[in-house]
Amino acid sequence: MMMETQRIPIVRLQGKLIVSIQTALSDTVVDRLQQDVATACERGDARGLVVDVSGVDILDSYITRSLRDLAVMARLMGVETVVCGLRPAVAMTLVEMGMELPGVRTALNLDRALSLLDSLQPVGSSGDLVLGDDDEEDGEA
Amino acid sequence: MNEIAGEVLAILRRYLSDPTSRSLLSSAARRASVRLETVSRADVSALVRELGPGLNIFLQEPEKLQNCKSLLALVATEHSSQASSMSMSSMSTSSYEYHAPVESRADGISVPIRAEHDVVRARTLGKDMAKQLGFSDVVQTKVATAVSELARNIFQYAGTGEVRIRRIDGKRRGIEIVARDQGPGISDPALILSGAYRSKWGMGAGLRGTKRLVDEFELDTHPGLGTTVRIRKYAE
Repeated sequence: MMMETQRIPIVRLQGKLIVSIQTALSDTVVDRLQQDVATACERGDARGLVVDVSGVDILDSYITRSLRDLAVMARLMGVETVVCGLRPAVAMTLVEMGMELPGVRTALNLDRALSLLDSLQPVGSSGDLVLGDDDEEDGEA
Repeated sequence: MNEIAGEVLAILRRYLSDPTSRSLLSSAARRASVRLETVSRADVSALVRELGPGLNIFLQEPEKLQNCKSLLALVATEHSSQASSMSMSSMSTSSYEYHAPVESRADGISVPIRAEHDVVRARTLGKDMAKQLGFSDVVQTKVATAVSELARNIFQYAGTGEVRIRRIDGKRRGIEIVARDQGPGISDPALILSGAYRSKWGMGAGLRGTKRLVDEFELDTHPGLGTTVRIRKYAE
């Protein structure tokens, strides 16, 4: 149906990529977003990525994992990611399911996410980022 | 406006603005020769039928349109099942030709899972139904998430199947979801639920998570024959 062509826009703003998800997420939409973010990161002028999920009312295991993968992927490409705007009901559901977002920075809202990105050292210059080896097939056991 | 009309209006307002909902409802009532002050159970199916054309115009997203119509059809079904047998015959299937594969009957809504967007539809319906039952925002989200997990498992592992959502009336009000498929089945359900097993797409995480979100969880699976998962969530 129409879902197939749906794309989530990626906005560039002052050296940051901003993705605001305001639609029901299907697996295809999330997968496409992952590819689009990778392409956007590849352009090389972005220092950070914010994924605003305040418009998302359901995050199930697959979508949560895809968001996590997206953040890890962006970080591997040198773009730090902050996920923000998780609704209280969504956060509570994720905790109850035993699914968290390990290794992903989160912020209350877009504003704080942007300040958080500004406060971060450029990727690679600090030692606090442990890449890759800790999450072979993830930690939400 | 009486209680039944109010119920219909409440559903419309979830998808449309208040003024639009009201004007759609009153024009539908006019066409169906029904007075909103005195809508009887027998009138509901005619009223819902007359709402169809208006909804087609105002609800652009096919997903929302189908969900809204499914919920409305559910109101009609509920009311007619309690009404006389005469009204039962007046709501034969021909009254519900709105091209939506979602099927409504007395025992709930059945959503066939055949394509990926059916997963989204099933969970939206689950949430809407939980909302209608007066569940809190958190419980609505839990129900919808559980539906999403079950529907996705059907789509990914069995290809096709069905999710049926119904309300539980009785001492404890609640919602029941039955997800059924004729897929490959699960060879070792205990292993999957224990968390020791992890599939490529995370079925283990999905099923374990679902179990933790609901009050009752039953898994019935036969390798080669299919899987049925039945979950229940009660109002707190």
